[in-house]
Amino acid sequence: MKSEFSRRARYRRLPVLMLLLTVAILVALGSALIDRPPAAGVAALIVAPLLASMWACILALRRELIRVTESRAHLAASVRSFDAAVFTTDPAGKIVSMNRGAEEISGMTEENAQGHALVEVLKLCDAATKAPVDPGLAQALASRKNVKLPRNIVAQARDGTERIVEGAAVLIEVAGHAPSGAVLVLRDITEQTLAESALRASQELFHRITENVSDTISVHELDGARVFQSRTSEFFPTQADGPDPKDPFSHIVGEDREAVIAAFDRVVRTGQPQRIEYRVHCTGQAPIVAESVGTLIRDIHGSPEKVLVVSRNITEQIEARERLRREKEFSESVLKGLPGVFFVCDASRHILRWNRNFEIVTGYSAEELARTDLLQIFPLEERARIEARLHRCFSDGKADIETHVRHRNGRSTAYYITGLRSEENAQPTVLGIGIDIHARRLAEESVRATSRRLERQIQALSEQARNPALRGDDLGLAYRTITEVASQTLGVSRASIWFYDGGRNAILCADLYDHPRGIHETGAEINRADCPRYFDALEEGRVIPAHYARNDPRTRDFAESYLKPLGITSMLDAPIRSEGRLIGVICHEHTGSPREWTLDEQSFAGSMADLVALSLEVSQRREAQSALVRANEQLEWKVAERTRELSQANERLQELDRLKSEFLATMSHELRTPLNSIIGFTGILRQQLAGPLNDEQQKQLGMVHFSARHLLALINDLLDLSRIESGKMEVHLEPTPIAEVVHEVAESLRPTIDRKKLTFETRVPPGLSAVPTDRKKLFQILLNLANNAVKFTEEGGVTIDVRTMPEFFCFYVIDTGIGIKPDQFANLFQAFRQVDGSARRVFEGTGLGLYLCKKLVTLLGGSIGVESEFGAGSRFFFTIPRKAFHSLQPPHSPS
Amino acid sequence: MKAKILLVEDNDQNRYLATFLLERAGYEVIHAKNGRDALALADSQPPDLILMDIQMPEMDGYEAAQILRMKPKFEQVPLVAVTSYAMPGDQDRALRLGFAGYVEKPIATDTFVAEIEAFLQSARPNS
Repeated sequence: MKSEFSRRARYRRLPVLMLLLTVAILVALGSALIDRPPAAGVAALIVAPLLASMWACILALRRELIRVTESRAHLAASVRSFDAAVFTTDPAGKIVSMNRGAEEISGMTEENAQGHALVEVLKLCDAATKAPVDPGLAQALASRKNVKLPRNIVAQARDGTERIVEGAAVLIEVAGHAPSGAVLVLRDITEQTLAESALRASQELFHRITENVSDTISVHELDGARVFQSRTSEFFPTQADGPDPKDPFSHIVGEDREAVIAAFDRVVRTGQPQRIEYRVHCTGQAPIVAESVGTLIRDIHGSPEKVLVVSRNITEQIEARERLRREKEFSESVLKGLPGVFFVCDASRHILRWNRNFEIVTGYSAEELARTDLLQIFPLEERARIEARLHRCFSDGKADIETHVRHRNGRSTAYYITGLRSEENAQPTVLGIGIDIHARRLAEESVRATSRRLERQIQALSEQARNPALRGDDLGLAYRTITEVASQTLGVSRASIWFYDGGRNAILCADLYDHPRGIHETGAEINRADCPRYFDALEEGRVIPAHYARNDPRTRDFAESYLKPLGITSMLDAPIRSEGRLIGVICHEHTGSPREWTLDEQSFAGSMADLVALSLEVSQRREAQSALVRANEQLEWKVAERTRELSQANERLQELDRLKSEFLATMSHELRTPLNSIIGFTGILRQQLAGPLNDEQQKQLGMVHFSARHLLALINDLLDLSRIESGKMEVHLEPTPIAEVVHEVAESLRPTIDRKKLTFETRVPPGLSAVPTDRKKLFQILLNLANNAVKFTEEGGVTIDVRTMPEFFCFYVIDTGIGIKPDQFANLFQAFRQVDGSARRVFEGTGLGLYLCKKLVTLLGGSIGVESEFGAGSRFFFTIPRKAFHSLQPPHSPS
Repeated sequence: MKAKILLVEDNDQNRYLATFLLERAGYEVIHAKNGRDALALADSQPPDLILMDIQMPEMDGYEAAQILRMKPKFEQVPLVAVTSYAMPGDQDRALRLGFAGYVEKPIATDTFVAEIEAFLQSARPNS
């Protein structure tokens, strides 16, 4: 700015300089003229116009310069006064000048900014992305066009202040010349933007409010035409279903329409808000009830402008109101019709409400009751109690009382009243309901009397049930007890027990108790012939309550001879029955005025009859029982005796068994020793070690040798059996290679097989591992079976087949021998049973072999069996477990 | 020189039978009727092999064997039991109590001598 002033000062001094120069030249010319006048005059003539035109030029130039300078200053001043920020740059983009707005936006003074590139002074970026935005100056210079900057730009000042700006880059050029620079104009629109968004938010809020308010808000012209509605609702059908879109009241049910229009007019006319309920057509449904409030809206001058209507669906409210009304009507009608009394009173005992019956029971009119203290309707002596109960009801919430309600005429009726605390108009009240209990009182009195009687009867009966006299041996005492109890309990003069004697067709008196005299009698007799109808009645089995015994057809026969003389008026007789048969009767006889027997008394009489029957039965049962006990005792004694005998026998048997085993063991040894000699010596002889033998001798010695061997085998088998059966046979488990055992068996039998020219085959699965079992016993079993097979086979051969199963090894010994008949299977594995009695002579054997095999197999934990076809061969098989089997139990087979 | 065999057997017939077979094969046989006699005899006339029945009166084979086995003098002398097939357990027990082996009763006359010779052979390399 300073430079601008100095420049202008320079232009003002220019004419003064020019004047001084002109003067100087004129002085020089003047002096020269003095020195050399002619030459000087010529020169002066030439120079003077020249100077004059120069002077004129200079003056014109000066004026132009001043005008330009002033116009620039004017421009600079107006630029400075802009609100907008203006940055002026030279063609190279360096800042030439900045106005105040530019200084504010950039945060730099013009002096500091001058000569710097614009981008060093001001940062522009996108408001949302913060990406830098080019100021567009370079683009404007290059394209020679003005460039408008994009929207939403933020200018960042040095101190970080951000402003939302809009702006453009404008070229400075004079037509026909290269641009002399460019100007960036930025306008701060921060406040404007904020104001706009605040307005938008407020609009949205309004929208949301109207959307979410359950009421529908609408704005109408003064003629009713709808110009706004907050949302589509049931009140305002869309054009499609609306009957007449032009008529703003067309959705209202016909009868209500006029009233609504009138209310709307009142709003417009009076300016007072109006509220109205009306019905609205609803598509496909019953009309709904709407409630609307209309309010007049005035313009700023106070003239009516629009009508604001707030509407709400109150259909459910209306229905609820209706329901409540009906409920109330119902409960009121119930209360009115209540048979008892009903009242509501407040804390000061004013009777607020009551039912019709309350008036009848108390005898007061409605007007009188309205000003009566509640206590007035109760008898004097009850009032204190009633008052106390009322207090309790107010404090505890409920109370009840049995009392009397007094009629105004003085008569009282028993009532049971329950009180419940309630509330009416925010005041505590008591709601009382009373039931007439007069009838109940009477019934209760009667029940009490009956129950007293019953109690007495039950007590009598239960005492008798416990009475040892009735269970004792003395039946006479039992009968005497019963008659006494009966007469006392029923309060009769005489009670008696009679038993029926079929042979004599009469009843005989077992006991008669005369209560007033306190004596017992027996022995009287009543014959059927004298009073057949009484007997008939007895046989019917029911209790005979003869209230008027002298007139009763069943007892009339006794009247003259018996009842009248003794003064008996009423009889209560109960037949005694046992096992469905009449055995007697118990009689109760009443003297004095006739007595009506109550049902419970009749029932008691029946019970007494049962008691007699029971005593009799108990007595009989006792006899039977003691006989039974005697028999039982005898039996027990016999059983004990027998048990003792059996146990002795058992001990003897065990001893015998032990002796048998011992004997067998000893005998076997004793028998074997000489046999060993026999076998040994025949062996020596047959080998001719003791000298030569002839053929016959050789043959006979062979027989001796064979017989001795057989005998030895028999003894060995017997010994084994005796051991197994006495549990002394031990099992020695050891890893046993099955193939080896089978081979040993084959080798043992080889001589016989060869002699009989039989085939012999063994099949053992290869690679079989050793099995934990008793090797010797397995060998013994297998040898025994194979030996049998060879023995009973003449043609064909024998096969030993070993199969592996999941849990067991199965050994098959198969032959093509004579086979076994089906009926012989059962005996096969029993001791001393060779299949055929006759065969015993043909086929040698101990008869113990299979029996022993079975025992041994069982001992090893397996089982044995046979399949056979008679004449075709047999297949014996047995199993032994693959895993170690610990059999330490003596094998007691069921066979 | 043929081996000397001490035969311990209570039954005369069986003793005779075994003696017959052994002497016929050329062995020298000395006898005892029970375990006690056998111990005394073995002390006075040390045998090359002792053949002993198990079931004997006064002192049975097991007891005699146990005593013999305690004497270092007889350490190398094979002790052979005569057992019965019908007395299971005898054979195992005999082997446990120091017998070198056993022969079965009744004596198999055709193989008896060979069995005894085998026991002698097995003992000889060490004597």
